[in-house]
Formats: sequence, C-alpha cells, structure tokens
Amino acid sequence: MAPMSEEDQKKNVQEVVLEQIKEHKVSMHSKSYFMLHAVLFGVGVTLIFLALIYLGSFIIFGLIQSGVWFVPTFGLRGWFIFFRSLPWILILLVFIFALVLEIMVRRYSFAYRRPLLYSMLGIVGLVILGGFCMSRFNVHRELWQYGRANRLPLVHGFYRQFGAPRFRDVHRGIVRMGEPSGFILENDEGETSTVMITPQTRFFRFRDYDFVASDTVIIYGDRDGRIIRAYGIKNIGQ
Amino acid sequence: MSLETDEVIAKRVQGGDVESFGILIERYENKIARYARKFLLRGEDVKDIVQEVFMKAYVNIQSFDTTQRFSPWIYRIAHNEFINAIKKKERGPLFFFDLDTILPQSVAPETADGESQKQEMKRILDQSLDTLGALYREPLVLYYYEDKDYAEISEIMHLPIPTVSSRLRRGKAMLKKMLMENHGADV
Repeated sequence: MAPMSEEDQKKNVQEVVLEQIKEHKVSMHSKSYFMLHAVLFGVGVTLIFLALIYLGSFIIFGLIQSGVWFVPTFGLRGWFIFFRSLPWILILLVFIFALVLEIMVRRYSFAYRRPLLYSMLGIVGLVILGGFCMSRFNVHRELWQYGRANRLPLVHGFYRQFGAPRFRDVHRGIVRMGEPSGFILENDEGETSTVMITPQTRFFRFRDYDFVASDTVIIYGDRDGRIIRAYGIKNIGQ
Repeated sequence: MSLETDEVIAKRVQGGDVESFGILIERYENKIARYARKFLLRGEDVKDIVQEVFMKAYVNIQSFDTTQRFSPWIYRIAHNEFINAIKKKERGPLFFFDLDTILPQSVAPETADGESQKQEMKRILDQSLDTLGALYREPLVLYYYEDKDYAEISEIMHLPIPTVSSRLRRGKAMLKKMLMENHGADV
C-alpha cells in the first residue's frame, strides 16, 4: 500500500482511502483468492495432522517392535531403560508438529474460543485415535517388512533406524528351542542367540515362565557375543 | 446517514460499489480511532494506522461473511493492525506466554455495569491507562470505551471468554490498586 503524502495528511481518512481505491493503488482480493487460501490452509492442517498420526503410531510401533514398550514391567531399572531408549528425536518432531498444528488451528473459532489446553488435548486425543486406527491396518508392519526386503530403499533406512532399533540390553525374538540352561532366541533378522536363565532371572507372571517354542518374548539382559544373560523375561505370546 | 445495516452495505462493497465503502468508513472511523488512541496510547500516527485498517478491510472484504456481524470483523482487523504496530515499536515478542489462554479459567458472570459505575471506571481508566500493560489495557478499552461485551471481545481478540473475563477483572483490580497507592483515595 502506498505511503501517505503530505497532501494526504490534510485529507480525512475516508477521502484518502476512497481515492487510493479509485486510483487502483488498493484493490480487493477476489473471493476465489480466499477460497484457495482456505483450501490450502486446510490441506496444510490435514497433512500435518496425518504426519502426526504417522509419527505417533510409528513411535509406538518401534517401541513394541524393539521390546522397549514392555521393559517397564521389569521394575525401576526397566523404567530407566525405557526412558533411555525412547526415540527422543521422533518425540521432539511430534512435539514440533503438534505445536505447529496448534498454532494453525488457533485461527478457527472452535479452537480460540477454548483454552489452549483443550485444543492441545484434542489434538493428542485425535492423534492417539488415529494411531490406534493405523495400527489396526498394520501399516507400519507392512512398510517395515517391505523395508527389510529392500523393496523401498528410502523407507528401509528409516524403518531400520527407528522402526526396530537394537539395544544392548533389550532383545525381542521368538523362542526356537529349549536348552539345558535357557533357550534359543531368533530375532526378526533371523539371527539366533542363546538366552541364559539364571536364579536371578525375574519372571513376573506364570505366563512369562511358561513359554513354549514359537512364543514371542522380550528379554532384558546383557549380550555377550551370541549369549544373552537374562535378568528378566516377558512372554508376549504368539 | 443510511439506515441500512453494515452487513448490507458490506455486501454492496463486495459487489464492487466503492462509494458504499465510504459509508462504512464514516460509521467506524471515530470508533477505530478511539480504540487506537486508547490502546496504543499515541496520538501522532493514529490517522495512518486507522487508514491502514480501512485499506486492509477493503482488500479483504470478500472474506467477510455477510451473514455475520460486520463490527467484530473490522475490530479484528484493527486489533491485528494495532498488535503489529506495538510489535514494531517494541521489537520483541508480545504476549508470548500467557497462562490465561492455556489453562481453563472460571468465568465471572458478566454483570452489566450501571451507567454511573461505567463513567467512574472510564474516569479511572483515563487517568491511568498508560500504567497498564497492553495485555490488560486492550480488553478494558474494548469493554468500557467501545461497549463490547465478553463474547465480542473474545471474537476480536481470538481469546476464550473466560480469559477475557479474567483479564478484565485483573485489569480493573490493578487500576484500582494503583489509584489507591497514588492517591490513597477510595476509588
């Protein structure tokens, strides 16, 4: 918009504004401009929302896949490992996306008429619901398996790094066969390890102790080569 | 002066009738200028800012929904313009963190102040408006000078009604406290 000249200063606001309009120094945006703006904004909000659902459900998938999701049942040390093993970069990304989404939806009356806490909780609730729906369709498992088979090279690296990270003291796998002092565990990559059960190994429920071949178990314990000394075992079934 | 509603006139402007926009300026110029003077606490460049408000209103008039009221819409444009003016002047984040907008607040019932009470409050405001921060000054100006109710202030400032209510309550309390300290008078 053109700056005011000295002559303009003497005129009243109405005269100046109408003059600027008539001289085409100021022109109104068309209705389609605002419609396009609203549509693009809506698409942006939807994309960020979908990205949030994807990331949220991906974090949960990664935690379950790596076994970290279950380690808090091993007590205080389990909680310590849980927090230490959380994918903090992804969590930070989720936080940033949620913040951006919150700022974007604040322009809508349903958001600004309520305290920020409510719209934030609404976003979190919808992300959890969306993440739950996503897990029902096994989207991440499918993508992860494609990634493993190298059919999606870009996704492969991402899912390898974040979808099923490997930790030194948390191990997830399938029980293959019993051994005198433990059993053979096979992970998703097909690698096998020997799990040593000692008097110090903790079981929390009868089901954890009563595993059979082909059960999926989470082992909490240090790895030494191909031997894992189990401090805790959790059976999550087949 | 035309007896047509603002919304009918705005619809004509949307249809290309530039002269009708002059009627809207006539109706709102003094109100927006008063809002600017009281909220921004400056006299010298108010005319420029008010002019800018009406130019923005014209540029964006097609985004106005004529089934809604025109008044909160133009006040909202003015609010944005004034906030930008303050930001430019203060060169820092404004209202960056405000707990009032984050957490739920209890709503104090909107009691209609009597005319004498309102005049008294205006008198107090006139004396000490500059001692209040912009956070509390704006809702007080809208409530006492522009005669806006909580719902309208909420629409103009894009804030929840309980937040508007609590800012008004605190703003009034601050004003009274400051006057008591300065004059020791019972206000």
